[in-house]
Amino acid sequence: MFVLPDKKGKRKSMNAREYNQSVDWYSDNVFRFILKNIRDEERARDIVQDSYEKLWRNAANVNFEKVKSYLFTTAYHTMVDVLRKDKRQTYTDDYRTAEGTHDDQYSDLAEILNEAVKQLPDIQRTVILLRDYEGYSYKEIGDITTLSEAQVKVYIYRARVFLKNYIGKMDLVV
Amino acid sequence: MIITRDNYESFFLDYLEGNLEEAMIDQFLDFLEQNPDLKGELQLFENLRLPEEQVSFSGKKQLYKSAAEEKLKSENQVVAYLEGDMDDEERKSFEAFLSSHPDVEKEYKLVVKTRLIPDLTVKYANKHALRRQTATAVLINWVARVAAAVVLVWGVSSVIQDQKQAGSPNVSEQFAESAKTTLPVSKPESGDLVQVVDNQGKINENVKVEKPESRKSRKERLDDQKAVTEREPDVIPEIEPLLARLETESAGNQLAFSRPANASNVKASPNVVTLEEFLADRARKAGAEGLFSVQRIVRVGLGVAAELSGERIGYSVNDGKISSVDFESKILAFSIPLTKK
Repeated sequence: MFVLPDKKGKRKSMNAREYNQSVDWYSDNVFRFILKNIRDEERARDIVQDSYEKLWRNAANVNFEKVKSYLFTTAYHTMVDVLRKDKRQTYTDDYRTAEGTHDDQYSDLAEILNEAVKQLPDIQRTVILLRDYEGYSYKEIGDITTLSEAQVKVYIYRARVFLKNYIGKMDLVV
Repeated sequence: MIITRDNYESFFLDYLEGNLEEAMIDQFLDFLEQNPDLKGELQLFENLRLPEEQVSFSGKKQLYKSAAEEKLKSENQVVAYLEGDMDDEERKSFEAFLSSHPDVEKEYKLVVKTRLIPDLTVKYANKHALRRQTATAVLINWVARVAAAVVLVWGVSSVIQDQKQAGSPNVSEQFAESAKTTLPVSKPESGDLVQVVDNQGKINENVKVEKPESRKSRKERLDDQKAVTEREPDVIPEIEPLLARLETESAGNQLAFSRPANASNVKASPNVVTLEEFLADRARKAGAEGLFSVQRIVRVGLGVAAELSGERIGYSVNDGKISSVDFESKILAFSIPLTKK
């Protein structure tokens, strides 16, 4: 999936230098993505570490050009596994909190938006974070989350509308 | 077109639905007169009419579009515009729509605000733990480690070597100093006569001690030595400095040499050890064991243990080595031998 043949037909695997480069380039991004999803710094660190461990083990089979997708995919599925194991967390699209049902006062848009993102259903939060943080296309997000492009599009639309309604109500409150 | 028994069906249908051309009607009626069996079939067609049923679609309400759905469509269009999901034609059309609908434009401005911006101050702190060393780096690291270990071993060994070499003279100097201070009677004054034991153990009496500061040239000393040899052949012509003798001679000879004549009778019994002999013995042991010998470290450790335990723990020494470790308390006492008998 992540290995592309070169012009001579051989697979281009990743060496230690490229692996270290991927640490420098993508570890922060993966960490932010996971942290924003699960809001647990310790677990987010573990997931990043685990993802890079898997990357290193499969370095011979991973093309450097696809390493970012590999990392996000691995981190995402590791996160889902972790959340499934933790029964306190739910990971269904049905779960939705009431929009704008809190009494907190927010000083700026970033805080309002941050609170709104917390209240998004998990899958919607995941796809919109991949879209906005990393600029992935629907297809790339679909590859990472094993969803169809149509599903990704629907989730992103729903998330946008939810966020728009949330900050719209907060604008009125503020 | 001529109506025959092979193509009459299409003319029948046209006639029944009123679509038969007027020019064909006469020919059609003549055909029926000539074929009475087909005229009866036409009458059957005329009676074949489906009854009209009163059936209505009950889900019309679900198909109606509400204001909310109209809003949702508008929202979807706004999101699609933001996400770049429209083609050029749709985009231009929507931009025109936006400019003419301020309420939708307001919605669009809100949707633009939903773009999430990552907090770049959040960083993964343990990048160094994730990094892997390249083969070259591993090789360089190992070479550096081996080089560092070699330098360390060389440095430590040279320091220990220096201390060993410097240990005897220093102790000898202290020993000489202590001899001067603790046994003043043994210090001969300039011009005094003392007993001296030469290398063969022979006692030479009445050797005149010269002042150390009165250093003479080698020629003068040779002249003096010649003169003394002429006067007394068995007497050592000159008392060489103590330090030089200690470096070359055994401890016994050093002590004998440095002991003045009037102190020689102190060692009446072989069990009596003078301060000079004691210090010389310590210096010899220190030189033999080294600064960080196992025996020395163990002795220091046992000494600390003895201090901490209020002298309950002790040890015995035989020939400079710890022969046993002892423990003694009110209810228990034992001794652990450490050397083979």
